[in-house]
Amino acid sequence: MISGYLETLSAALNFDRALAERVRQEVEDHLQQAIAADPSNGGIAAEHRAIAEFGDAQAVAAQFATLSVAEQMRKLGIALILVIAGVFVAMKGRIAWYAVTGGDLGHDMTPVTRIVGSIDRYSFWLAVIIGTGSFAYVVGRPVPTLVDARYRKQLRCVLVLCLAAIAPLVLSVISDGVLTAIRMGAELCAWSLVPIGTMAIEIGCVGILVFHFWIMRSRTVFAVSLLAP
Amino acid sequence: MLKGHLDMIVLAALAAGPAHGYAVIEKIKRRSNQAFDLPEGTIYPALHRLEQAGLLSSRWVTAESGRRRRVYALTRRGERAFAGHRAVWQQFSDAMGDLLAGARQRRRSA
Repeated sequence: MISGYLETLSAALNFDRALAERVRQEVEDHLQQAIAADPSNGGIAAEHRAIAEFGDAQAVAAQFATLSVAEQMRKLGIALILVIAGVFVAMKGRIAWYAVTGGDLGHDMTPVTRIVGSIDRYSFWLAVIIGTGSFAYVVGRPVPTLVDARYRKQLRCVLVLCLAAIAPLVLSVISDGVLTAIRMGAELCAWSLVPIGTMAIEIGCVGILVFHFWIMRSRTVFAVSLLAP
Repeated sequence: MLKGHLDMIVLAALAAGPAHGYAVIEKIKRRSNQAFDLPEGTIYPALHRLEQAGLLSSRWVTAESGRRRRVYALTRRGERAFAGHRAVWQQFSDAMGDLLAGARQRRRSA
């Protein structure tokens, strides 16, 4: 009976394996202690009582799922700011490298590079503005005990805000890639290592952010489904 | 009513020293003379939430039975938060006590 209860609980929390494992061990220890302390000294009746006093597995899982979503939301907010900072540093590093090795960027401006450069600049600053707003919205928000209708609305808002920050950031990194490719041309030499390296950092940063966003989205879906009637 | 004060209740149970979830529940029941018989399944999410907020820390220990057990303890921030909760509650309790005593006196004199 205990193992069935624990299975239900950890299956409901399977979207966050580390949490599911921790909760399973803690609850198992609790139930075993409750059974040992039962006046009937163990047996099926004691197991029944211990489980009944602990509460419905789905309801308990829903409370843990809320915490998991809140934690992921906080991580996503922090990742958003760190990634924007990382992309900015990589971008500035590459520009500084061009200045050291190839002089000012402005002299080989073509209409295409000018347009892509503008897209890059505006999309990056758009990502900064929305990203900062999302971070301020996410961090410091109290964690509720359950994903109620109000919290569900907040989660939707966070997802939309983060997506609105990620989309222009991705566009900015793509534009950076295009500009870097145009500047480097077909030749690859030791000089190209810094632009390629900084581009790899930008792509890696955005990849991390997309990964956190994807985890947040799937945890939200699971948490909401646990509370669905 | 208890739900709104769950964090303070859990912090109070841990103020005397580190404890695992089951012991926290037992302490709450014993120290409140069984008045606070909370659903046990709500205590663990509360412990996790307080840990996430940095008010508690936790670590695994191995019990005599050989089972792994998670032990929770107040952090410095948790101690400060508990002291703040306690001061506010004391103020509220004193004010409410005065208010009810005044109402009782008025009833007697009427």
